[in-house]
Amino acid sequence: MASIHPQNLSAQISYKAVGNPPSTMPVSAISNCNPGLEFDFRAVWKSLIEGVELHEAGLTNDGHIVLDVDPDGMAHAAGVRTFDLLISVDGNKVVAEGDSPGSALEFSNALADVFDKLGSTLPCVFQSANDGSRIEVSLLINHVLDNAFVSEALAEPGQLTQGLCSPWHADYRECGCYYWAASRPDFINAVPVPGTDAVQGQSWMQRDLQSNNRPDSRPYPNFPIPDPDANPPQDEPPHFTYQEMYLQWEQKLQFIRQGKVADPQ
Amino acid sequence: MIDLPVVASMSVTPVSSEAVDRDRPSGPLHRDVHLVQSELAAQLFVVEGSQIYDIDHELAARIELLTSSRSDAVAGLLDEFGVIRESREVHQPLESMPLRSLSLAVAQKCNLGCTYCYAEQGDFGGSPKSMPAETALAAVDRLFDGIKPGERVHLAFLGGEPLLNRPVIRSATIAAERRAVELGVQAGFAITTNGTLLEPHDADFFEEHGFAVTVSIDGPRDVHDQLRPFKKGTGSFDQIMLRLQPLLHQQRRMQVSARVTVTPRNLELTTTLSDLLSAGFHSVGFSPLLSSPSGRDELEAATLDDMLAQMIACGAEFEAAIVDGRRHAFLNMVNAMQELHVGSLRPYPCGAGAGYFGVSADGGLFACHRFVDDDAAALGDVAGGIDQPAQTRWLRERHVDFQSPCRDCWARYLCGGGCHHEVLSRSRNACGYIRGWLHYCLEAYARLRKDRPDYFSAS
Ligand code: SF4
Ligand code: SF4
Repeated sequence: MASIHPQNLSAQISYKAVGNPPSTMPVSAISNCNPGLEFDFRAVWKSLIEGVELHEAGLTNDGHIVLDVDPDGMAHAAGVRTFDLLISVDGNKVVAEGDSPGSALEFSNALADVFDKLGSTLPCVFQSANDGSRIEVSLLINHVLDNAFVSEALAEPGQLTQGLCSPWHADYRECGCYYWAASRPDFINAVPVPGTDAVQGQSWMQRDLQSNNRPDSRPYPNFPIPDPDANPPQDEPPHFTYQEMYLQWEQKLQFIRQGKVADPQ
Repeated sequence: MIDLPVVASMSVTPVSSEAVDRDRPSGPLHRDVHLVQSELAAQLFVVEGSQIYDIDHELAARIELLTSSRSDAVAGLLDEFGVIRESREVHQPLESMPLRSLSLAVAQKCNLGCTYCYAEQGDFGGSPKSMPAETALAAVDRLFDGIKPGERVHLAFLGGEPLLNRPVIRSATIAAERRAVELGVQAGFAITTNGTLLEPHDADFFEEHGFAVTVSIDGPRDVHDQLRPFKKGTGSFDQIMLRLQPLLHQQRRMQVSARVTVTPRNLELTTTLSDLLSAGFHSVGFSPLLSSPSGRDELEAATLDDMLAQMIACGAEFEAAIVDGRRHAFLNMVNAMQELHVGSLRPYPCGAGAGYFGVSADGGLFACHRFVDDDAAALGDVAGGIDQPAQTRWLRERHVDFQSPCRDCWARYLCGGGCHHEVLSRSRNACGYIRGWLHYCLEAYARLRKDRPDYFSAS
């Protein structure tokens, strides 16, 4: 079998390895790295700090959950253990502040400052899950890129996409908030309000199509978390849930013609 | 630009006939790909995107077979192997480009009488002139016209011999530095000088303003003195080296480089390179002399072949140093390795007439320092700015896709079609040299990637 290996940077970003989908190429990706359509970059972030594996979405109000610790690494030697919380890196807090239901997405934001310091050793603060004590240790921040490739030391082939169990449904719903690249109309049944400059209508994923311009029509994930066994029964969330998208998309999604929900006939 | 693109500055050979060139491994076989093969390895250079791949001999053999047939068969093979080729913007000639880099011909006169000078001993074939301070300051104003914070400008002083008009160099530099600070812009300064008029206080000034100082030196003393004598006929080498000492010792922010113009009379490049590097230059670069107003000392097919062999010998010294973990300042190689690693795409050989212009002593804007006072490349003046229709025409006509034979040459986006000035005055007589040098650089790149991958991650 003939072989080919990209060498310089332009070849590295122009080469589509056998088996990779078009979404892995800068020219054919829409660069949405939220879990869903293309790849989940949190798979790389979670190995950003040498010797510690962070949960890809385990950000709490108190810190970020440690999933694994390399027994031979500096962090372990300093006393960091599984389920401890990473509190700060180089003085920047790595926590979801206050009521932040999108905390899973805050992971990369919380580490954004660190991104400028790849390759350096920075002071990290952990909180012990055991006794709440504070552990300070300086740890290496790994390089994310090896030339133009995502570093194989941080993510092996397949790792960036392994979390994409429902490649399109999740992203389809995630981009419910007027995202230009979304492949469906998101503000529907829109009509001008006579005598004003305003328009009224509904979010495409709104359950109740009677109320217009709901203040919650930029919904975030699954709140409240649906619980079919709840007693007394839960109020229905205002929008379709992820579960509904995964399981019942054919019933829930309607045809939109010229911006209006169309009669299926 | 003043810093000639690697490839154009190294440009050049032969091609008296394409047929001869085709027989060389660097010859043009196919417009979309180029193969570099040795016993151990093969490399594929993909023209679109300047991509470099290591391939095995089986794939190399398939490509070789296809290059002799229809071009779309090669395209199919590239698709099959996942080589994406998308660089459409390169093919679209620029319409305009803001002026962000100027060289001022502050003195259109010279105290040397170099045999081959493009400026015809300094005055560009006219009467000797000096640029008045007002003209230089107007040029500085033009450089900052419409600029936004965070942008960069570049101001260079050339001639003739620019140090014949030292006060104007100083006032323009100080004015530009002040404007840059006021506007939150970065300003870079450069001077190209023959070195004979340098004074110790010039070193202080250049160091203070972080100048890139390029000194023209053509080799060891005896050859240099033949090629670059004073007008009265005596040699200039000793005086230059003496006057350079304060600069060589003081360079921190300032960088002092040697530029060697290669003619049939100074082809001992390996000796010249090691002499100049040990003299303390920050870097040393070679440019072939392809056209001179008198036709004297131009390189021809045979001498370009000699130059290529010498360049490759210098390249071998560079490679050995890098493998040993030592710095080596052979500028043509430093630049070529950087450009190949990134995968530079050059639809033009340089910034001439795009972001870069040469300003004549009278305040005319020309495509570059060599085109000063040449009506064919007049593109406006400092008072009125760029002549927009003229710039658009220049950029359209000079785009490499519109040049023949460049449009079918594998090296076209590394070379950019060759120095406009040389091409317009003497046509393309150096393509075999250019391709030969690039072919060698591709081989060297593969070797260094293998032996010293850290050299590329550091740069
Ligand atoms: S691009 Fe043009 S000038 Fe450059 S080597 Fe090819 S044919 Fe010659
Ligand atoms: S056209 Fe001018 S700036 Fe461009 S390579 Fe030639 S001499 Fe240099």
